[in-house]
Amino acid sequence: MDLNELETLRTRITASRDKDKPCITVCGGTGCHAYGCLKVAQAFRDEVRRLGLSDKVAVRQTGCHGFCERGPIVVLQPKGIFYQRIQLADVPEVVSKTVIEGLVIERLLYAEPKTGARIVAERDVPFYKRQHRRIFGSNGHLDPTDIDDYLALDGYRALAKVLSEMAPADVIAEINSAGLRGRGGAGFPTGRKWEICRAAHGEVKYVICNADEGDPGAYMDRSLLEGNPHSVIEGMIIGAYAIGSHEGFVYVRNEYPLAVENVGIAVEAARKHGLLGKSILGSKFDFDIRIFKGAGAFVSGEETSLMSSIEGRRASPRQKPPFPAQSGLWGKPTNINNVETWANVPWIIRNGAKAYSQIGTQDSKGTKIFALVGKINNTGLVEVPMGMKLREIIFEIGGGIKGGKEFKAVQTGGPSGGCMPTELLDLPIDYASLAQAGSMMGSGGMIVMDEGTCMVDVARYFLHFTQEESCGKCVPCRVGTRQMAEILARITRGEGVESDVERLETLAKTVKAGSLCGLGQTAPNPVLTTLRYFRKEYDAHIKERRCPALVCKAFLAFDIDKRKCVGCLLCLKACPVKAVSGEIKKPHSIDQTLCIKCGACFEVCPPKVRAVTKTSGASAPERVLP
Amino acid sequence: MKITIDGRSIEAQGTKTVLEVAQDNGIYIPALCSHPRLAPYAACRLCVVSIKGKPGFQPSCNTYPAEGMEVVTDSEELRLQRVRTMELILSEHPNACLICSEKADCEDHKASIRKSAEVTGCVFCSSNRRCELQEIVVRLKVDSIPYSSVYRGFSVRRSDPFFIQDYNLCILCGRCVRICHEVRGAAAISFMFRGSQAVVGTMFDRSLMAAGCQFCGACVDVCPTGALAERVGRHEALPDAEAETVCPYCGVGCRLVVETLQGRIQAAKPAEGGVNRGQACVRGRFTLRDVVYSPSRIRRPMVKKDGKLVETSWEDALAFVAGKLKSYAGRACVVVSSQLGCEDLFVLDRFAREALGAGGAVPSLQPSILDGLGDLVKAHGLKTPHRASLADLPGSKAILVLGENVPVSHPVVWVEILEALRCGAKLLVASHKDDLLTRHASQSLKIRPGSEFYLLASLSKVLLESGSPQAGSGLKGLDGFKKSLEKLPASCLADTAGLQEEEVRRLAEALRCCGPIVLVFGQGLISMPWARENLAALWDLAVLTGARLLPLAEESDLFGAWLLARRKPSGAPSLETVLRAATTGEIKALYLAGPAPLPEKHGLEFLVVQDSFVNEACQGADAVLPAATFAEAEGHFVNLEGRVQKSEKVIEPVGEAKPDWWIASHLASRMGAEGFGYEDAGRIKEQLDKEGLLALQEEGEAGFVPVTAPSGGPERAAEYPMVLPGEYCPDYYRTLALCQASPDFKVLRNPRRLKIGPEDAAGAGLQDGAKARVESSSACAAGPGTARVKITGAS
Repeated sequence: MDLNELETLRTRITASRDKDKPCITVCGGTGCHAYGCLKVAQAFRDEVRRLGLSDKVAVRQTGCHGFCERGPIVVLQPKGIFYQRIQLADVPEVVSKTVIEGLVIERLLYAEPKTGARIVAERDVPFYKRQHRRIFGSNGHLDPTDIDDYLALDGYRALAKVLSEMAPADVIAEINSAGLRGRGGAGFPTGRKWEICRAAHGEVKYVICNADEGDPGAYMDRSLLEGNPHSVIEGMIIGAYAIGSHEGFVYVRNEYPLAVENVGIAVEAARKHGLLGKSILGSKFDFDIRIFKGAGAFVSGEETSLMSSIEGRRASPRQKPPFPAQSGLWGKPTNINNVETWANVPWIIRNGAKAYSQIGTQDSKGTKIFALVGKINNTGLVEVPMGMKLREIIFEIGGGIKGGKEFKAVQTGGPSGGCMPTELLDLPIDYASLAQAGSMMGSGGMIVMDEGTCMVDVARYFLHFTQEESCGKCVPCRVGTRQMAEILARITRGEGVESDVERLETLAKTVKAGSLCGLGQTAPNPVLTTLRYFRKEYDAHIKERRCPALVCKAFLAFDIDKRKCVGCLLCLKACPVKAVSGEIKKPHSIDQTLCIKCGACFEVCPPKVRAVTKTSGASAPERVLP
Repeated sequence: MKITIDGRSIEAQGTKTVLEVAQDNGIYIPALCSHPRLAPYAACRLCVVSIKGKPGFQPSCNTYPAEGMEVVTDSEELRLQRVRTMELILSEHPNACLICSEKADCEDHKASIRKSAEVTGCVFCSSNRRCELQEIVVRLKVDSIPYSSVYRGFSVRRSDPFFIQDYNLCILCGRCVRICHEVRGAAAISFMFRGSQAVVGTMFDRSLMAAGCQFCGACVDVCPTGALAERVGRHEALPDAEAETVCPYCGVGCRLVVETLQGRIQAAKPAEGGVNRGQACVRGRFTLRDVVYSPSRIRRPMVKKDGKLVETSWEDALAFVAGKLKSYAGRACVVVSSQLGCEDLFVLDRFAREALGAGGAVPSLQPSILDGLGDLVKAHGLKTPHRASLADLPGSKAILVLGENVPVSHPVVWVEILEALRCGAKLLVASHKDDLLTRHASQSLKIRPGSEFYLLASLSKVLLESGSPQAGSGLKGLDGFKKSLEKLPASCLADTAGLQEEEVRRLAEALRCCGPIVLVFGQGLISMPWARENLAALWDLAVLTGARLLPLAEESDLFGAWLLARRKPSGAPSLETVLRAATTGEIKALYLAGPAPLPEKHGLEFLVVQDSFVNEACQGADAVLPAATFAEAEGHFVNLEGRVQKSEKVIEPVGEAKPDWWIASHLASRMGAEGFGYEDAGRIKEQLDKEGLLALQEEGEAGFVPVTAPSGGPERAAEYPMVLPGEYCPDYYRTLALCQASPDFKVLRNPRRLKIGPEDAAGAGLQDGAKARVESSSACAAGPGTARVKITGAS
């Protein structure tokens, strides 16, 4: 296929599509999958067929819409009616009432939590309203397994432009002036990276798409690959053209089966359409992509480690320099960018660097997708302009903290990021500001924590993760993270000593300064930031022997307020070790020597009664050992 | 370029790392994972330095100098960083001794404390006081560890031969894994698991034996701690002396440092310099001690009295032997092993000619590939094609290996070939079986056993027809060679070797590459009756392509024996004729200073065995004279490159053994021969040098020799339907087989096995593990060889 044929095809596709034809789009993202969207989509198809509407109504399973908290999500086009939490039982009603009669079903609409007002259109939902869905927006409009959908949305127009009008140097200049920086974590200017690789000596060069997203709670790249794989592929082809590479790899973890499947289908379709392979779109440029399935080690996301894995060796990082652009995959100059970075490329080419750089901050341009998770009302993927304040993301888009609790901290950048407290809520997010606050952009994980979260326990959790995921090559990371995790575990067990804090600080500095790769160099961040912003909690654990957030078991005590207890026997029955004693309708009591602090009594005590108390520290009852 | 280290201006090359530059200039930087033979790894993080203009610390082992670079190797913050990193290393390494309050007095009281089952501190460790970790700990002055120590609780692995693995002591520097992959190409070990669970292990956690370990010991030698330790001598005290010898087994001539304690050999380790560049193989690294102290050593001279060998004094034995031999002058022969030093071979040869009137001492391994080439030189008056040294291998572009399983027979040559492969050379192999060699080959041709001639001739033919290699143009004999090639029946070439023409053409293409070529060949090439034809074809291919020849000498002094034999008049007896003469009774007395398969029935009247070990021949011997081993006498050996190397005397001879030259010269003197008054080996060497006997002067013109098709093989095919190629491995010293000397070696390799295809086995009624009798068409099936055989019986 050449350039003209591409345009002809695009015209044919758009002409064959009636913009006013009703279309039921069911989100097919991973979150909605978990809610059972596959069955819902099938039910819609069956219902439409049963009613003989197959010609008049289309059903489309799309990529992730982002609002995972409310899945399965169904949007009825062309009006854009936004239904959430659709169950199988709702399907016939939606078809008969909304699709056929055009009526809106109130109860399926999203309700504004504060006012309770129902919102009809997707774009009016506060979760979406403040977002800037440049990269992620098309997800909801296309079926990722159908290249026609992508072509209908101006897909591969950027590639056509590059191949017909632009020299490689022009492409790099465009990316440079757009100010695009790597979305994988370190934020290296993408155009600069391409330039170095282009200038590197060598006939054979590779480009790689890093889709080995491994941060707990982060799934932006997954949703992009699952929902809009062609945008990533188009970006890679453009990058390869700019760099002078003819072979590319998508390194995707095998734990993302849908991403593996969809990107495979997309590569196949692109090849069939002459968008990959020999003389792409009739030009003299050849490029093809191979998909490499990673076995899911966190450290494989590190670029040198990833290349080592593609080469068939153990995924361990090596010291840089040489950088991949000088000597990468099989010793050849290699350019690695993350999924989101690649997906930004076609947009820049289509709309121009100027349009791209209009949003963002001084040194961080464009938008960034975050995975907003944790103790937040609107869990999901959000795409916001760089420079948006944390407060806006968490309280406006995210809808605030679950259960009306107090916000305590937000952790950005995955397990190696830092925890930022309330005082930093007005921090505009970009690469520099996050680094200054002791955290990092990372690939875009954002974990929100409420007052019921113990920060020492959080640090322990993340260090436990990094010590398990360290490759074990260099000493500071292998042994240092293990020692930090052990000290933190000791503190949460109530065995902390005063020198532990100092020892943690020393260790954190040693590991940060001494480690070989990014994993080790950033692993101490959770410790360092919690020590910086939540030092009081460490002191409470070590000096006062209490856990302010009532999380660490060692410091907890459960007791029964005799004035409140109605003697319902619930806690007595729930106790697994028979520590609760008492008779019906008489106040119960807990034998502290038997109690294993499982919290079962606390959980079952009816909210009206609230007789069981959970306390920590001085107010806790003495535990008298026999 | 100029760089500054700690304020000192230093001239540096871009090829050496900052760490190496610093070390070369006497600046100390602690480092544990780096090693001169290995690529930078940057894992221990002890060698960190500060570089002006770069943030944080940089590992000096992975940093290359740049013009004007300013390096600081010692500062308070660097010291702190190193100490803290070391504390982390020690938190996982048994460190009881380090923080022990009694450590200052410990040395006086620790007697045999090393025999404890579990290493909890330095004094319990076999590497105590030769541990790199320990050294750095002392230099960094670390004496307390602020962390809880972790004992990983691995059970010590003792099931494999030669060395034991205690990964509780491992600091995961990765040297063992890297040397196994990068240098030895065995890749038997690797890392398992990750993070704090990471440990060195084998695939599926099998034994090293099952994982394809060659037991070269390179991992043991690079281990900076006691995690890998040689089993033998592990609980002994440290050596008090050492001497450098030449490994006595194969022709590579590896230099070994032999460590001794109170005059007893403890261990042998590859020397850093020299031909072997710090590498050795299982034989040299692990079996020397077992060989020297073998229970089958002959300790005192013995003579036959009343049909029985009885021990006697040297005086009596020499008088007896000299007296008897005198009466057999002219009807006696001497057989020698080419594992003896040049001094021994020279004196024994003189002894044979001047005292016994024989044609000269006959080497037990004969004909050798060197003899074969020498014969061609003599016959055609040409110069041998260029000889290669081991150092030529890494720089070559193509290496063709014929007639030898190099990874097993000459592992240190294999190390150099692997280095060449890493540098981009192509490995071309023609062999009748699949092994490690063919697995690494860029092109591997499966040929019929013994059909190398046809492959070589057709390669030359293809190359000549396409006319591109220029190396041989205009040289003498080219036309004759071309004509002789044309005379070969066209059909018999590739086809006879069992190959497609296309395969030969592709191989020829690889040989036409621009760049140095080395032809590596071994005894397998001359084990068929048409040895001379094979060598002629090889010779011509070498001249045609300008390739260098690397003959894989099997024995440590084969080259020396060949050099000395050049003095002899042509027609000197071969081992085959000697044995035949012994059987028929043409000769009456035989003097064995090397292995010779004596027939059960022979016409000998007087048999003398001069050897270090009791062997089969001793039973029928009239006198047995104990000879010193390589470790007990000074001597010179000529390796396969022609390099003359000195081997030092390491220990006093075991029992009353004497150097071979000493015995021969004393006998000769007593028999009235003149000029045998040698007092030490040095005098003999002086004479060798004076006469220029060890100098390799190859004169004459380069040129081609005509080739002829082999005869004498295939026509006996009906009678002897199978071809039996032997596996050549110098797994012996003199008459002692290594599997007999070392129980561990026996686990690794037991050569007394016949490998046969399933169809042939079924035809002969053989089952796995059965015993078979093999009969060959070759009159002399002396050593391992290739021969047409039939299996005549099974049990």
